[in-house]
Amino acid sequence: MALTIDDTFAPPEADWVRVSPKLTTARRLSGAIFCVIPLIAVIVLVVIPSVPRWIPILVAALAVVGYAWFWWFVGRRTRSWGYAERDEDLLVTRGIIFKRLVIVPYGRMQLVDLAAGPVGRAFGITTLQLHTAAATSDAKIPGLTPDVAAALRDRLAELGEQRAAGL
Amino acid sequence: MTPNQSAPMGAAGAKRKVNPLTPIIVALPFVPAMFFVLILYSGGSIAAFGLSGIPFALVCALLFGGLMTAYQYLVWRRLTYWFDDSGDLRVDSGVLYRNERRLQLSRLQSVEIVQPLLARLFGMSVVKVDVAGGNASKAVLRFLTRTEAEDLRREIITRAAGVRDVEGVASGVADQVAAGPREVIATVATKDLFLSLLLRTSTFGLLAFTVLLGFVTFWTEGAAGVGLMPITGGVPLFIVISEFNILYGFTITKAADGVRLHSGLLQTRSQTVPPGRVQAIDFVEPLLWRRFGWVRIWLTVAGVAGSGNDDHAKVSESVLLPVAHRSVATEIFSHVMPEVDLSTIALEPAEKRARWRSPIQWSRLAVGHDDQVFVARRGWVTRHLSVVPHARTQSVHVEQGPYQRALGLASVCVDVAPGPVKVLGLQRPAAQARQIAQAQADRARTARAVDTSTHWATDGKPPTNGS
Repeated sequence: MALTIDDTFAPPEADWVRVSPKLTTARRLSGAIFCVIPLIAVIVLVVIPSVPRWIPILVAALAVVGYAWFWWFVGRRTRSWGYAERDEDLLVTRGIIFKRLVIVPYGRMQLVDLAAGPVGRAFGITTLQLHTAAATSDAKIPGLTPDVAAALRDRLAELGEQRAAGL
Repeated sequence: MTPNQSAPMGAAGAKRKVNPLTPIIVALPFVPAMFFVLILYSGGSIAAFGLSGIPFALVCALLFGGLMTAYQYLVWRRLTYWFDDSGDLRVDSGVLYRNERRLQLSRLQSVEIVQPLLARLFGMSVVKVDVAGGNASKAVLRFLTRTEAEDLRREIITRAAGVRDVEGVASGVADQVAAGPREVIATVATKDLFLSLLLRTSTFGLLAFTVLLGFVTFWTEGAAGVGLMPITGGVPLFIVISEFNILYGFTITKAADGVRLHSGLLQTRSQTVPPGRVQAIDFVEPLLWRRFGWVRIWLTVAGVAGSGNDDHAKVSESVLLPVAHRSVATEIFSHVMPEVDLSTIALEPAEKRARWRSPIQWSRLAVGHDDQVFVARRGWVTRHLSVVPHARTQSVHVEQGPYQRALGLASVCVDVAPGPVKVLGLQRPAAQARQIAQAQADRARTARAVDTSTHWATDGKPPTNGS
């Protein structure tokens, strides 16, 4: 196998299955909650008369720039998640700056969890988490639509049962 | 009150109880504790009404002890254990909240016999049974007499070895386990243990720093160091003393049912690691141990880490060998993983460019494998050599940070059950890292398909050549 450096996190055969773009929207919206803090700061600064006008404008500008960066970053980061179901193992990859790829043989899966928080439910996305006997496995796939997640869970559970081995 | 005491292999269904002295032994330490608490907290008033306070406190403490005994009697009456038809260990307990626990012995990780100080005076032991799966997978039976505890342990291990019909097949195995040679394969001298604990990198560093601090404080005639010294000096000393207490008199015995570890100064404990239950092993050599050729071996047994994260549990249940010469360590390893010869495994070192990311340890970084185990070496100040059987590999992952990417490097980590051992192949060439990871995942899968090491008793013979 002649892999080049870029191929370290390359998909095995076909391309990675990417997660739903709804995850991007959900995360951008959750991130917007943190904009409340600079917003309050700006209001307070405007109300206090002795503060020069340009200070709240600067704070607001910084907040807008910060959120714009966050907006862009979340988009890229969400697109970096991917998984691939192979015959004997599941591959999950993530990250842009710190990249990570985990390979979990189906026989080692102990349980498969589906979880959806309030924001996730509102957007119709679910997180699938795979557990092995090792705590460091950390194979998690966020941003799956509920039907995709449920189908994947059932497939994984079945494969896991077929190939199950103790500890 | 204790059936089956004479017959070590009781009938499958027979219900058993722990020793009837249990309520008294559990309640006993509360009497003096209560007495002193009363004396202390009524300090002023005792002085006020003279000595009459003491008998009052005594009566209260005794009354409290009596109540405790009564409650513990209820606990004792409720606590029942037996082996059910499918060979699992069942434990019923709990007075207010009833608990019926079923421990699947085919997943047994380890059996431990502990003798706390007070119980030791009564000749009593606690049996701790650990089954893979975290906190709820542990059974603690207290108290049993020493012989009862030994018999129970033998029975549990025999049943866990895949024996269903205990009366029939087991008698052979049981006799083998009971009468088999108990060869002591290593003991740790008290002097070596103490010195080794002092010479560990962090301990020695902190103690040296404390001495330096003392000098500086003395020299400058200031008081800056005085507040720090109890911390920098006290903490490492406390660790040394507590580990010394746990690991004192460490003895490793080889029996047909696995390797037995025995140690303890005030509280003794004896742990059995059945064959095939070892998840991973780490040989550790701190800098200052090297002139003695000393090594410590850490061990990951599934379930142990999940049962408590405090250091005490970690040290007392995860040390296979506290300190010994390299040659002894190699021999111990050959008893735990008899089919593996580490000296024949070719280690592939990291490439030179790894020095830009790991300037100190780069020359020590290496990975290798044979058909049984994966091996990773790292660390310069404290050397690590970690070994994980393919059959115990849970998953594999590759990580790469921005600096590593610039250098074309990536790290491989083999995920094992929670415990003190980490298997890290650091700073591999990026493309190779992916290949190592995929290859190890494939080996894990195929190794698992043929692995039967946990059911050694039904395979005819144990994989370890104990007899």
